[in-house]
Amino acid sequence: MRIARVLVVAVLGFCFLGIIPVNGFRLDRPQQRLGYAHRTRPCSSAPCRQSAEVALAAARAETTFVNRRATDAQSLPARNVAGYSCHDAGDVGHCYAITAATGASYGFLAADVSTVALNAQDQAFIDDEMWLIDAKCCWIEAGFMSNHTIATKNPLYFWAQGVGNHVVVSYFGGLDATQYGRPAHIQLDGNNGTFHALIVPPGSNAAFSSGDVTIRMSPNAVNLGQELSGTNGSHAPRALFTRIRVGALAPGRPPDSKFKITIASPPTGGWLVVPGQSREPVFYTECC
Amino acid sequence: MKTMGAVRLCAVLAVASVAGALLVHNQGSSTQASTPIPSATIEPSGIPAIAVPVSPHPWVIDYTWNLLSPNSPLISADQVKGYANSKKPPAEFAISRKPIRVDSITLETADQVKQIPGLASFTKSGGYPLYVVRVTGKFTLGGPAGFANTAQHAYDIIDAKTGNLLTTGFDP
Repeated sequence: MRIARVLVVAVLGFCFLGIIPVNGFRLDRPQQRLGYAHRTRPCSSAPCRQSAEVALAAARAETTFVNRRATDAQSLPARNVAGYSCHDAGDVGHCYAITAATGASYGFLAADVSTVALNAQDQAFIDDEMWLIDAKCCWIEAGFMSNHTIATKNPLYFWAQGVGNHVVVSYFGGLDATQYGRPAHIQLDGNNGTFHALIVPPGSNAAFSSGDVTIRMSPNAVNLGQELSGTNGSHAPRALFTRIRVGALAPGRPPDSKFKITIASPPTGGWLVVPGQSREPVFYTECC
Repeated sequence: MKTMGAVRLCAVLAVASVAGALLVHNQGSSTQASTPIPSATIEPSGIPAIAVPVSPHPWVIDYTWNLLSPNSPLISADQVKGYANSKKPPAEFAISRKPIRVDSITLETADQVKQIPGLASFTKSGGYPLYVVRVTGKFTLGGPAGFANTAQHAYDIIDAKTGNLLTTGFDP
């Protein structure tokens, strides 16, 4: 009789293994990924295809973090920080809440970033994103932003590159509000002067891709977090950066203790699970 | 005997449940594994610059409606009365509230646009029509911390078929 009870309990336990509360997050079973209603075309090169396949495979991983706090945070009032100087005539520059690593060669940076209802005001923008940087000259970045000037209903996926004073920002399309709280998989990779920026939106089975981007750089730094421009009124619910992977090549490895946090408020952020533990590191950002 | 029967029944059910669960699990894995990873990627489609031509939405770019109206010729820069959010500069990168100046509006092919610095990998190609709107102002550039810089020239590239804003660029 005891054996039978043990077996029944084991079966029931097995059936419920998919739902494990962890610090306010939940590990969900994979969702059926829906087709994405945008035109597609093959990457024109093998490196581009390989890059997209790495991103798609990562996005299809067995479990995904669901940011319950993002949903909760959307109902919270903004902190209403009374004015800030995140760009002005004094060339102050933008404000950031980032974690960064330097001192190595990087060719791969990826993370799941929970999509949230960013809301920019004051002719400005606020975003959650990642950068692959050559501190001497150049960078490539990708993420999602709310831009008050081109205020679409929902935030936008974007990627950008900077070479010297030449900066080009390209828009992928809008976030799906019904997926807020679920993560978009964002990936930057490349070497030998050819780089890629990719985003797999939550619930999608395809990736937005920059295609092959030629930038003569040797990245020696990686940043991820939030950037804010403007002087008042913007708001960002808490976003989580999970399954962070970084390295010279795919698939990279989790961040280590070399990742340092830089805060230029009002954006704020930090590690909810610090690197170097047995669990996946989790970085968060929120603002204003 | 009844107790033994119940034990046997429970054991059989348990074993069957485990076997069933494993079967379902394996089927799920096999389905996932057999699903081909698309080699296709999404072409950047840009944000809709004019979702509804008569919309009073504040983000409608005034000139774009004129550009795309089939009965309207390409307007010249000096005809532009407003730009991006109606008569305010595209201040997401602006550091002064002074109005920007629209220098030119041109209809170009994708191959021509690819000649602009930083746009060699632009996803449109060949003779695909694009509007290029060049403006002058004072802009502070987005980018990673430590790279803050300024630019005096900016441009928007708009899909001439759809009105979608595809790219914004900044030059010294």
